[in-house]
Amino acid sequence: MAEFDPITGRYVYLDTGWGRSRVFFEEAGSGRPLLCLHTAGADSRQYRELLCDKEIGARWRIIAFDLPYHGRSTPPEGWWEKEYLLTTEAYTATIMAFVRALGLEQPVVLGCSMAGAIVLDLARRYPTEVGAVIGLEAASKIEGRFVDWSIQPDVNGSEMVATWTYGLMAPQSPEPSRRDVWWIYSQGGPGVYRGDTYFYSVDWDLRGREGDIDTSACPVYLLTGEYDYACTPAETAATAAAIPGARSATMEGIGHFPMTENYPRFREYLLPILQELGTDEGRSSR
Amino acid sequence: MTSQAVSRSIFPAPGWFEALRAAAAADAELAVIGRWFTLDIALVVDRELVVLRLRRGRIDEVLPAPDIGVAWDVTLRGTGGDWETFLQPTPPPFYTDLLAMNSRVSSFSIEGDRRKFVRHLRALGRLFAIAQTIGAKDG
Repeated sequence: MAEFDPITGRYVYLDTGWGRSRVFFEEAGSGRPLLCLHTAGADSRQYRELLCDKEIGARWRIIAFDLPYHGRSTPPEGWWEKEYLLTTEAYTATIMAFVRALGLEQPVVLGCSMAGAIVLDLARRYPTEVGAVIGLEAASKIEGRFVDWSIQPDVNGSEMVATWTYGLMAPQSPEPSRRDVWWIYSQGGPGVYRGDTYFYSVDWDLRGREGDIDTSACPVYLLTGEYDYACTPAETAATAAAIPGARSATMEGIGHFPMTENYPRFREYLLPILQELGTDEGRSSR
Repeated sequence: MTSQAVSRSIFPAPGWFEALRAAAAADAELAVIGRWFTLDIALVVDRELVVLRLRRGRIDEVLPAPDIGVAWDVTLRGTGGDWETFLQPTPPPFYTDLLAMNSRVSSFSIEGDRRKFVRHLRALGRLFAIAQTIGAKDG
């Protein structure tokens, strides 16, 4: 008997600020939408173990999509004549286009790294459409990730990006899982990781605007791994302190890619949040 | 003699580098990725200096306290404490990786031909992951 994951994948066409893109998404489970956003230069495969988590899938519709330019989502036509640089505006618009295209009602949006940052912008700007956000490895400002190393002709950008990000993980995380992160990173398109970090390290800056987020309308949870040196637990805690009502925690023995590098450990931190947010029934009474 | 042995630093003694040379030569991953891994690096430990000549994925030569005529490509500079903290299988946060230390540990730096460092990042990462399994102390 063949073994199958409980995941199904499809494509949807989205019109975004970039143009028209064929966007790949995968999903599993049923219930309230839990929309999962991948990190810079990666794709939805980072959420494989969460998508396969039958206990969570029994109460949540878990969905993960590849941003245009990433994974199996195509870049818009004419990409070869434009430098790819992700902006806050384009990123937010693309996520909301996906939410609306799939008719997701009050999704809980979970994002990591650059996606951990963008979920804070979703909470700030779309508190009536987004039910709650969970930001992993997120802070108001991240310095130092936007560099040209990976696009220089004498550098193997595929290996360089994968190895640079490999060092962001905790040594305690299982090696096969850390190697999965490396492998996914090695498959990013040329210049895509760099273009994503333009958003993460240049365009994104929430400093001074954290108080705009109304956590009574859109609850905010921030979790950061103790081994993350790109976004440290202290930086996340400072952002959480500046958002009235936001909750935060440090995940022990985890680095920058919690859902992929050590899913069982990450799950210990995620489950109580999902239980607190409830499911369809819980949402209607909120 | 006390009942509990006090661990003693074996880094950067010559025997430590010999252990690294043997472990690198036996490593299956370096055998796969090391074909173009050729550069010279210097490890600075407080005021001590050791140059490693890396050739096709192997440590070809170890030069402690090289004379004035010896050149190299990349310098990895840290205190003895930095290296001892880094050289263990499960280091604490910010000491897991050379770029992590370069970013977050003020006394540690990557100097010299840093472009070459980036070019060889994958193999250097593997070499120092092997070094972490050896550790910096005995006992």
